Amino acid sequence: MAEVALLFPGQGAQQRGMATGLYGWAPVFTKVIDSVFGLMGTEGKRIRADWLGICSLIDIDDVRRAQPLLFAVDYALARMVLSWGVTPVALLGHSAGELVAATLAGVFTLEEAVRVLLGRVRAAANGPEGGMLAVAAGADDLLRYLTGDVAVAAVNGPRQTMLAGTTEHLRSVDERLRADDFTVRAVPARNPFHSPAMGPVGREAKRAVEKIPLRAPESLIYSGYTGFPLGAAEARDPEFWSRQLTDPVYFGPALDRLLARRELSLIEAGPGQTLTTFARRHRALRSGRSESIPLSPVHPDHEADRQALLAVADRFGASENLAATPIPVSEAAFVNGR
Amino acid sequence: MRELTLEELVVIMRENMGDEYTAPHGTELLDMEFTALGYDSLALLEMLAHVKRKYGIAVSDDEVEGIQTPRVFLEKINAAAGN
Repeated sequence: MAEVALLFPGQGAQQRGMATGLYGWAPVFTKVIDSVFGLMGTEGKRIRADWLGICSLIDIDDVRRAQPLLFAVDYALARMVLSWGVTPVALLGHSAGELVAATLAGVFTLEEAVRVLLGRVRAAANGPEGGMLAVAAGADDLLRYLTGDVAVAAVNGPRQTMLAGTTEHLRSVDERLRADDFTVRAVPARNPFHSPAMGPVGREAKRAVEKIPLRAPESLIYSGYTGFPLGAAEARDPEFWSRQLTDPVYFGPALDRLLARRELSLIEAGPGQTLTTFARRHRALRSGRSESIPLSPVHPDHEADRQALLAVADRFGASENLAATPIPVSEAAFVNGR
Repeated sequence: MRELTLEELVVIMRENMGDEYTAPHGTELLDMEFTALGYDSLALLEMLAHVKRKYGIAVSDDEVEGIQTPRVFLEKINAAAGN
């Protein structure tokens, strides 16, 4: 089998009930995700309860649920893959997924990463309302449509671009794009992530990062913010991490460089198959030189979650790590924790 | 109205991919999942818009989530063309 690189989806990839079929069923995933929730304190109990559908305090598309749950699911899936004895040669996260990559690479400890994450969430919860759009066009073709505070938020591929802005400005850009026959899809987000409107949020979020002794990465990370491997100086700069809320994501260029080097089996460690589908548009995958393997189904469902995981685990000879019988999960613990 | 053929769909899929993409031929392609071929919902929406412009056949954007394979894509288009 080819060398492995891990991909981590970020903002927009969250889904209601994502990966819950693995909870209490895949031991490493369960243990790790519980430890992440544990580090989130009292709020962690509420986040877990919302995730499992035990209650519905806050919607999954709200930043207070989307970001902590994406981090928790991505990270727990990654740790599970590592427990199979897989040693990835590179890590690449999209948007909030880069925090997961950095945690695995030792830039942050898990506890520190959770603090950074919660700092971002607190700042963003008070941030501007807005949203994101996916447009089937190159970023250059969209520049003349960008008015108000709307900006290019992500370059995912040659003809896959995301825009972000505050509600009114974004609506106006959306209307003009549709009038000119562009194909546009709303991305589930309630804030204008990766746009200048998030500037004050980024500055607020920086306070949580500044208190942390940032370390150089011990593994190769391709940064979606530069499109290049993450350097030691960047990794140690609090500004680099706080700017991730305002700066655009160059996932496409980062993926290009990652795939240019070697033949790879990409494993998407997160909900859905967004990054896998982006990757499958890449020449290196269409030619069969590299491949992308999602750990999750397109739409979450307990049985589908397990089947998707079993298919990958089997390829790595790791099915023995999965529990034959479900681990009992005490629902009382969540209820009492509220 | 005449039906959209698999060959015509392959041309649309290639245009969407933006280069000389060689899709598997014939019945093999019909039941492959779009996600396995690199087509996400945005790409499917764009292909539906293309069909609407070129053939005048409109399928609602809401149907996109249910279109998982080229076979279903053709069924939806041709059902809409028959109405």
